[in-house]
Amino acid sequence: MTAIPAPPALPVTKTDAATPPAWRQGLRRITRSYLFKVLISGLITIWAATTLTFFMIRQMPGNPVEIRMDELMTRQGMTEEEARRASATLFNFDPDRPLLLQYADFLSDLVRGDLGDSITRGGVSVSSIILRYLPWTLFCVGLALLVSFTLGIILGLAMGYWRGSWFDNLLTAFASIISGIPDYIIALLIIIIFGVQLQWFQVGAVRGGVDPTITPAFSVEYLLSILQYATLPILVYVLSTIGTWILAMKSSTISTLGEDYIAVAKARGLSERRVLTGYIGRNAMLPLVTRLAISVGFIVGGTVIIEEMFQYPGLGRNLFIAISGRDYTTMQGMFLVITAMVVLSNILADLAIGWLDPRVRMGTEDSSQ
Amino acid sequence: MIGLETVATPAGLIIGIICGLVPLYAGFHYKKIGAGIGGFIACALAGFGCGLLGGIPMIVLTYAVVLSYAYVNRQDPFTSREALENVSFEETRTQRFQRQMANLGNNLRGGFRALTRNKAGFIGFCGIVFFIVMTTFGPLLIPYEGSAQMQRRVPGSLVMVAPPSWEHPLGLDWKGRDVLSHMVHGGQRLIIMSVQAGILATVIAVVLGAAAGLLGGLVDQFLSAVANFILTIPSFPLLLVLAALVSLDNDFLLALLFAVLNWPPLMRAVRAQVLSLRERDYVQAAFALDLGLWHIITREVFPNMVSYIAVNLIFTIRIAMYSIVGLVFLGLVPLREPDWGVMIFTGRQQGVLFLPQAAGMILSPVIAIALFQLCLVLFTRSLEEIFNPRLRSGL
Amino acid sequence: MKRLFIVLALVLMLGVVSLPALAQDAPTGTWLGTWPYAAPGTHNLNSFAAGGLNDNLGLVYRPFVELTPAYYLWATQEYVPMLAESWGFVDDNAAYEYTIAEGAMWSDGSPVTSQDVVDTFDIGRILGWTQWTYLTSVEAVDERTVRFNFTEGGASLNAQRQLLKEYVVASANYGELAAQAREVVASGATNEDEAWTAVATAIEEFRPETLIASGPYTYALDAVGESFFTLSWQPNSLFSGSVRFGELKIWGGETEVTTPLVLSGELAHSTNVYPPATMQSFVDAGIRVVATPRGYGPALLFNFTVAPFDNVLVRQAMAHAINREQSALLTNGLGATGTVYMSGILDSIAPTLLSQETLDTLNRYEYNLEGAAALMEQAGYSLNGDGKWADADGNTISVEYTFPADFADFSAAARDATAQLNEFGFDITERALPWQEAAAAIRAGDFQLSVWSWGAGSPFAFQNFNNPMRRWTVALAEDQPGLQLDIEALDVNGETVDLNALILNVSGGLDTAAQQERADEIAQILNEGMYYIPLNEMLSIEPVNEASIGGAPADGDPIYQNPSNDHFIIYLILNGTLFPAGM
Repeated sequence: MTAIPAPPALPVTKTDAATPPAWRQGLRRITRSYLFKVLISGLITIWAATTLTFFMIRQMPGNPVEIRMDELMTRQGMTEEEARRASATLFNFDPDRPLLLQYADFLSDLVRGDLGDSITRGGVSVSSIILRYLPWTLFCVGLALLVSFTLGIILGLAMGYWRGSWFDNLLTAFASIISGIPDYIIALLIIIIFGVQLQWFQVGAVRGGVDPTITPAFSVEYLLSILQYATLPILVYVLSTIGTWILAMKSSTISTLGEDYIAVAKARGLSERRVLTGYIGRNAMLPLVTRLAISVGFIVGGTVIIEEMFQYPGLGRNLFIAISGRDYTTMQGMFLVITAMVVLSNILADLAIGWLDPRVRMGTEDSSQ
Repeated sequence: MIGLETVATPAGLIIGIICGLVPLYAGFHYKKIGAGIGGFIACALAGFGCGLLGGIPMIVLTYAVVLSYAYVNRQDPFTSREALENVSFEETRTQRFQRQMANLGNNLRGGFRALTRNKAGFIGFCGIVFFIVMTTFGPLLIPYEGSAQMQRRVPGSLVMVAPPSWEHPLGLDWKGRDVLSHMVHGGQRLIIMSVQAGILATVIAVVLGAAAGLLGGLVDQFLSAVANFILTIPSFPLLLVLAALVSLDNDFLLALLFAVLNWPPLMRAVRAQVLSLRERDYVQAAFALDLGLWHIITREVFPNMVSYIAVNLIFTIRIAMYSIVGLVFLGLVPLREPDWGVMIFTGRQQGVLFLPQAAGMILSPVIAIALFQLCLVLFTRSLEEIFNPRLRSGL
Repeated sequence: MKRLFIVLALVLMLGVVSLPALAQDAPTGTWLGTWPYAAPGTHNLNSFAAGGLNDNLGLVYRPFVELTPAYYLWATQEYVPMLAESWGFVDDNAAYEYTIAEGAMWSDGSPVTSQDVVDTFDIGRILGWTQWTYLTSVEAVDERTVRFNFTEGGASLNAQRQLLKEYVVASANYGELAAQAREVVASGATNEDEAWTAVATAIEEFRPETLIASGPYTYALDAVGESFFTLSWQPNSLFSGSVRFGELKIWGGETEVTTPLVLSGELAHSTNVYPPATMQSFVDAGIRVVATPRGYGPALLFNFTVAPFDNVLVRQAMAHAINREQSALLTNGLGATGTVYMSGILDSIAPTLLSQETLDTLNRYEYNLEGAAALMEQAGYSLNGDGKWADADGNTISVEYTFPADFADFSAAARDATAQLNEFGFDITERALPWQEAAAAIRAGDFQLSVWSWGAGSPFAFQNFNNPMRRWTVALAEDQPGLQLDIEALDVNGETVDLNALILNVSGGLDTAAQQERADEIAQILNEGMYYIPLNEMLSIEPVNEASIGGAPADGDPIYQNPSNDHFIIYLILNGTLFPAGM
């Protein structure tokens, strides 16, 4: 009897081929997942936009040294030569360094999470500038966005539901007119009419971010002061954006009104209020939530003139300063933040819509936008 | 698209009158004299305003309307009042032409009825017509004041600006010129540029959106990525750089620039619409029948989106107007007077908002732009009525 | 009785000791001014760095914390003492000396000494100050006297002004850096060497914790807010006893930001450029405005490679075709006057720098359309069917005019000038640019017609002629063509003239008669060649709100002849003329 050779042990690899190990499966699930794809494409978008801005801002006429020279000539009465001598040693910036090398420096710093130092503000790091000013803008414009969105949704819903009423007509006219006036003119009119002529508030007392005499602390007084100083900019932002929200919500409501489920809800004898808020409002809001999330991304970019007018210590005002002084590194860092916010908020918009609207199934490409 | 700017001329009036003879003759011929006279007036006005460019299309439109009153469709057994066996389904080329013209006329009349049915929409329409008439015919009545009017200076005053008076209903600007004349002469270019920019952006958005939605796959991914990319570029420095590199002094170039930067939001919306339409039964059926992409787009998908696209076009025109005024306001495009945007730019530069009696100079164009925007918004209601029969009810 | 005397004497002594303290009681009341200072975070107290005192206080407010040796009165053309008590050329003009006033003290209580001045200039040497182009060394003669040694022939009235206008900083803060600076100079290094730039960087990056002031006001970083900062009174300055404001509140921001503050009375005085409509609104609101020379005006600049601006006849025709009075009124309301002499020197000081004979013979380019047309025809142009000037080939003069959108005054003047030229038969399109780009375009020679300043707020011919003739040509960096005009070999009536050398030389030396002769020659050349068209000379129309400021002299007072860079408030606040209203 020959020994029957023991059946060879099933090679592990074979079973593997049938069912891959858990980590690989997990990895595949991750790489195939919707979120992963979105994140990767977001990163690519950020990189592409950052690269474009990197080269773009360096093509802008003028450079930090020349602008400094012009300032010295205007403000100190220097001659061109004097100003050049005075600004030659001023900045840690070499305009003659090849662009590609500068780009390589920038990328390698960026990978390490370092945005570099400001060119015109000696020794101050870009990230510290951003960290210092971003919260103000986020607070002020974010709150304004929330107020204007909520108000716009409520008014637009009512206008769409009672379409054609005097209330609708009046607000439609208001919304279209107010959205046709540039925000800086709204700001100036508010300052001139209510501040200078009617003296409802002291013009100077609402400049800046917070009452400078109050020491920063988590006190009620400090927070109230912050709110008080933000009131006027918020008012301007709300007035300049609410028209768009009202009109968008109204048209969204009208198209929702035609849907079958509304008729069904009405037929079921649900109260008008229930139909209005629970069925119409909720569904009409969906496309606007996407827009809300997208506009969160544009919070920072759109605040330059208003922040300058109210001397609000936000990112927009500092972006303006950086652009006018051609402070490349600071501009670069701020644009990176802006781009990242836009991309992130787009992703959030996708997630939000999937979460709010069960009809949109996550993971299918069709619903990704 | 360039050269659409137009001012009423006497030569145009003659062209218009000659053009008007066609519908007038048709009116007499078909014994629809009222319609004929209406057509004559419409042609005369269109020719007066825009010369041949206005007169000739208006011949077609008015002739179609006149014809539609008189036309009896011989193919239709109900209207021809003939015995069924006598109805001829053959038609000569002339007959076919007449039928199509009459259809056009009927559609025009139907559209106009829908337009007037919605009061708010009609007000918007009238407003838009008012602005067009003002910028086209206004220059005939109000001569343009381009040079400084130093003789109007009030002794002792630091400024030339003046508040409204009988002589100058909107006051005087920083050079003592009549603000009204700048309002009348300075709006057309802006309106035409906004419309151009709006149409361009809409066309790009619809084509790319439809392509992305219907073709899917790589095309979709690529187009969506480009849209995302454009949405994320900070536009302010981009415009600064562009303005420094190329002189944005060509109106069409400016419109194109707007279109290139502003198609993504609409494209994404169109794409989403197409995707949802694609799931509808009739489109699925068309796919199943293998009717071809072109057929599906033009016959099944597009008609269901016309209302949406038309309304969006209006909104895009609105945004285009903001953006163009914004560019002028920032001084990124060459300033050419007269122009509403330049008025705002100069007003801000001259600090006139701080001087109450001078505010007319900056508020006039601001209010005009706001009103024009209001008219556009109101007009969208009529557009919805015209293109979306489901809504042809109530106000 | 004796005891009583002792007590009395003691009381008296105490009284004498405490008297200065009594006299130096802090004044009350707030001056409400404005300057576009750097925001907190960037804001620092370094006297030499970007974002430091120069930027934050500017020419107007810097003297209140760091005094200059003297202050120049334009009306009488003389210096009055500030930090110094006496000054003058010594050793047959080989050197200049000034003596710091007795009792001058820093805010930390230590005296201001000649060492402070030496340290200031040693640091300035590293930073490439102009003064070092004609100085060989700065040395302390004694505790309070400083000596400036000139290079051969370096002595000039211009040098005197620059020495007497230089702010003196405290050795307590900068002594160490000055020592480093001396070391590096002594080692024979030049500004190309790394050691030199290392010291420059150290100076630039130095962040003093406290501001040591010689003026009657000082401030700390925690007084700097987002919208304003406050300078507060300190007792140790020479002027602590005479000033009558307890603090100077400085609002941030530029014209558009400060206008509502002026209207609401929260800002009492401002040096911003306000457009005419805004000035009118100040006047309507009952706010007094005061006019002083601004020290410059707008000028049309040509690119000499663009036809037909290379043709002197066309330039002269253009000068005749512009109504400068109209341009001035539109620019700045009453705040500007059309240029009269067209001499390259501001009209307000031309009579002191040029001979009467020259002033009389200069072509004043009166507004004269026929004369302009004749010059155009002489240049080979004729009016075409559209009423535009065209050359023999039918080319019209179609150019783009770029102007800085943010400078309301420049752009208004030049926009009106080009509108007038268009009526005359040119075809000019306007294009607004942010000022940074407009300046860059001129430097790069990438423009056709532009506008920038001419003249200078200086009592010397050099600075006046320099701007814009040298500024946008030879003064630019190597690779920047600017106006594209070779002023070192200028063709004047068939002769080649080195205008650059003439201008560089014009204000040299101490012989004013010779200077006038040289200035006359240059004025003739510029007047004839019309290398730029000086449109007008601007005035600074400054609100002085008498609801909060008292004591401002009546209009026409000689002090208002001082231009902005020797600002009248420096003098009037320090000597106590101005006081808080209601006192």
